[in-house]
Amino acid sequence: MKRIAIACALLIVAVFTTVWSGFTFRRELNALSAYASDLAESLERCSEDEIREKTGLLLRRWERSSKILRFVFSHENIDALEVDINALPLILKYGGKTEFRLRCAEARSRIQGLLEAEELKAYNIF
Amino acid sequence: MAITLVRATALYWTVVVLMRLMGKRQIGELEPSELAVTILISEIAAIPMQDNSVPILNSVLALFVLAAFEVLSSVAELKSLKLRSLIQGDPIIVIREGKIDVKALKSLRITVDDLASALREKDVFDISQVSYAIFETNGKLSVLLKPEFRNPSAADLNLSPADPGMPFVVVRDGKIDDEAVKNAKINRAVVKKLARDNGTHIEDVFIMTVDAGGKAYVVKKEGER
Repeated sequence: MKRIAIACALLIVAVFTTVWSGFTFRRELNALSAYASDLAESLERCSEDEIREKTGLLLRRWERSSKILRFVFSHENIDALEVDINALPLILKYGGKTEFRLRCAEARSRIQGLLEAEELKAYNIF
Repeated sequence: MAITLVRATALYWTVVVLMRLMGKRQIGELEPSELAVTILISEIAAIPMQDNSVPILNSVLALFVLAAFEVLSSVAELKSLKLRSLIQGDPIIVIREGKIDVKALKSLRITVDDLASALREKDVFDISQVSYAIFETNGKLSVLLKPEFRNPSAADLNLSPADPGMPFVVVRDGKIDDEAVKNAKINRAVVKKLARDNGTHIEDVFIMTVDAGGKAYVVKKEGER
């Protein structure tokens, strides 16, 4: 009876962790994706200071999110995304707008890739 | 390196606890489903241990699910014969009343040579001595010899030998095992007295067994003689 109770508890823990991580990573990745989109769009309509501020916001959000995301995703995927996001302030300072926009798009594409990879769809299961 | 150390420690204890949860069946003769789970557990635990980029949470989650399903399916198998038969398979009789069942051998994809080899492992060198041979679900062969080839038992010889009962190891390496003392239906004082009767003290005993008749067998620690 004790074993059955422990087995049921383990299953509950597994399901709870799956649901929690599902909600958490989706929330974090969607927030990051929104920041990156906003940043790319604001290139044309905002001043350089505003763009710098928005880049700082994205970096701070990334600092928080990456700690959680590393629990769920392969660290290699997270490292690749980190390189893209951390490069943004330097590109803003020394690179061109096109390069900045491209790097934002690349980061967003990686985020979308992570989101899609964790979706409970047949093509992900098989 | 420190990360590998911590991850390996965490995974080691997770697997040990889960194997304990799955019980003794897992470390004895394995049924097909148990073998599958055991192989999967070792594989799943090994991957994050050698690759630090793989999140440990994913592996631990998979281990939890495997262990839980193994326990729950074994409980379900206890309740349902059909389910047990479906998951574990059924024992198959390959020799019935002294005759080899070729159809059964074919269904098991076992040749007569394989059968002869399995019989030899059971110390049966002459197939004509076998009355029944059954392949169990764990892959082992059980053999029942024809009556004329079986070893005679005490009952066959009309003997009634005294039953000394099972000896319990009550002292190991100078320490009394209270559970064994209880099983031997004695107490600590008796154990100490038995040690004294054998010219030693508990702390100097390497191993002491006591049977149901209260007879003790004592081995002293090396260099104590």
